Amino acid sequence: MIHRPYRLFGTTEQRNTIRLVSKELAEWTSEWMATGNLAPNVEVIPLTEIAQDGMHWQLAGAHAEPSVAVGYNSAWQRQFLGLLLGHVLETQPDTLSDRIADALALKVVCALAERLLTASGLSGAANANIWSGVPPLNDIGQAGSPYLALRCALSPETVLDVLLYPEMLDAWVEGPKDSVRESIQPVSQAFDNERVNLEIIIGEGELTIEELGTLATGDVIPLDRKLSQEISIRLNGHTSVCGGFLGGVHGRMAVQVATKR
Amino acid sequence: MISENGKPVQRIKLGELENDVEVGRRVLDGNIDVIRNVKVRVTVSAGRCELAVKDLLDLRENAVLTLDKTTRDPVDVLIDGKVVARGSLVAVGDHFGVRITEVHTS
Repeated sequence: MIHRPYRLFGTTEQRNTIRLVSKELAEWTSEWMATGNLAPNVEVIPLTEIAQDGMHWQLAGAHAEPSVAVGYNSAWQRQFLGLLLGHVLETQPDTLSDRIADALALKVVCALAERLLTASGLSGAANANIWSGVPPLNDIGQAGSPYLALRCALSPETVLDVLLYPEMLDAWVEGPKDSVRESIQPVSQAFDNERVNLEIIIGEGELTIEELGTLATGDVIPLDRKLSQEISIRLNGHTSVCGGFLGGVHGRMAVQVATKR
Repeated sequence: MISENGKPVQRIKLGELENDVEVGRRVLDGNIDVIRNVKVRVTVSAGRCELAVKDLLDLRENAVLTLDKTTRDPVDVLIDGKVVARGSLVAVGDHFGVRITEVHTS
């Protein structure tokens, strides 16, 4: 295995992989725990934090016999060998039998491996084997470790940690559909369908306040616009857009656009 | 400082004014005579139409825009965008004019 500097969330592919694995973990755990009335909780934990926390990975390193370590071994193993490792720790074995823990770890790892194989353009089912003994976790938790851990709390006493190796993080995984962003369109087209109001102003007149105060039915206000002149077409009642001539169309008032004013 | 005519020139210090309108009497006391001859511009609108921005930008000469009124409807007389009266469109000599048919009676 080639060890490279730890590059958590370094690329879109890595983020997609982490998202995919988190989702699978949550789904499988949720399904498995449905009968046990346990609430799943999946979180991504950078190894540096785990190292600071100390307890867990010290446990992993110092614990002589972790309950189970699962790798997978299939026709595709040479491409993915060592990419995935499920590691279940039981601090209180009574709450979760070894058999169930093994089965769960196996199930999760198989599912993840299959998803990753498919995402990588390969086909076929992945088979998982249970490894006995201590897995090669010597550098986990060390500064610069290339691994990423996803922790899934099965119960307060039982934690499933899945380690993602650098090659797995770098595997190309398509992002979820809902993350596809809409393409940016030209600003000039964005308001094409906005509606604007045009007001047709026939003309203006001038009255004194006294005349306005005594304005009555039958009074005639002369306007400044000649009958032969264009009337004004104004945007929102203010900005003059162009001129026009007043008329009717099938009984409706209408204006025919004339020269630009 | 001394001015050209020999009178002393001093800086004026403005006193602080208090805006106490509660006790003051009305200056005009409701008399609008003073503004009686102030002139106000009224605008007469034939109607409105709504367009999409793209249609406005494509608007061509001779295009006909149908308005939100019939030819029998009165036109609006507006002051500062508010309708203050309505009337029918008339010719006053060779100019447009409006004969008032509706006005706020209060």
